[in-house]
Amino acid sequence: MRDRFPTIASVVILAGLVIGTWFAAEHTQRAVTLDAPAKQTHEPDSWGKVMLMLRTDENGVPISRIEGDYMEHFPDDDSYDIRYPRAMSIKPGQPTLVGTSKLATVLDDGNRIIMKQDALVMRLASDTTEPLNVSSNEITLLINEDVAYTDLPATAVRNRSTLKGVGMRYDNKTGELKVFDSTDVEIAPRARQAQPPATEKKP
Amino acid sequence: WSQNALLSASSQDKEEPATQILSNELTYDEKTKTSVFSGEVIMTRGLLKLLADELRLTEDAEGYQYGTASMDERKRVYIRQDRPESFEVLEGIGERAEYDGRAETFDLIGKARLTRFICGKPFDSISGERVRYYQKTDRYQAFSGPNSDNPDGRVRSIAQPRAKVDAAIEACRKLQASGADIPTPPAPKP
Repeated sequence: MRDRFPTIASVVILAGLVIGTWFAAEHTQRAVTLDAPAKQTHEPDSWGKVMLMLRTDENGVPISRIEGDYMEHFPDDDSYDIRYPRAMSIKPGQPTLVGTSKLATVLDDGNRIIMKQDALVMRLASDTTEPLNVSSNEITLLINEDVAYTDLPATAVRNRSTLKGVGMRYDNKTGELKVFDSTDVEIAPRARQAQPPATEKKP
Repeated sequence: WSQNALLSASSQDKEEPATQILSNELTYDEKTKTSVFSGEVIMTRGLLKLLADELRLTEDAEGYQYGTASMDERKRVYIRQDRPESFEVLEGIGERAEYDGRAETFDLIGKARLTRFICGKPFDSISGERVRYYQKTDRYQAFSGPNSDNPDGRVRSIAQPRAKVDAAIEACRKLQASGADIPTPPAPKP
């Protein structure tokens, strides 16, 4: 038994050392408050005045153009805020869409442009179509899909018709305008022509 | 074969009214210049009102509109033309209605019936497979056919004697003079 004593003693001492070290580490961990991971706040890292942003397709053909009086870039979501923007969808072969508002937020590499406060999207006239204006408090432009939509009350004016409704979606490729709820359309009378209208013969 | 019954009312040259259309949804197609209104459609054009489940409106190059109104359920398309100056209301129903903005005519098609109310009471009525109403000249015309509202597809027309009509108008005029409300047939809910 006597000659085993040193072995047992060293094992006990080692176990004590391990438990003690573990306990000290735990205690230290709890005692010192670690810094929270750096939270990225939505703050600009760059800004500029009188800006112009041009986006092209894979062949280098411009498909959208955004001008504005003042721009800020936010690294946390890679977005831009632009004051008094003029956003244009200028895809070849499609009528041009022009969006204006007081403020715009550009997201998804410039594909999604949220026009806010007095937003107005104009589809310019072409040789087969009259101009179409859609106004609302907020309108989103999707450049790749060539679509403008809003979920808010909106008014569309085209030729003699004024369309009001809640929620609108205009697809520039198909030329289709959808109004999702509470549609109210007012079609002004046609301008009277010079010659008298065809009258019905009395029997 | 078609039997033509032409009933006429007085005609005036009217200023072209604006058209207002209310509905739950609208899809407008720029390429075909077609608007499809769906869900509780109420179209008002001057004193003319149309109720339907769906209204498909197209426009020609000169801006004239052409519409087709239809119903989803069993109910029928309803049109109503008020003529306050003679205390008249024209009410028409049919499975489908077609509107021609150039000729300013309305066709009720399929079990079609048009009733003229004076002072809120039904007086003349005309029914057939198709009833055409000329908005400009206030004339209406009925055509027979297999889908007529009457047995054996014929046109049926009931016209009250002129004296009775005049008496009803006179009664209404007195009501109006006394400041009472002029009775009119209730319009169905869309």
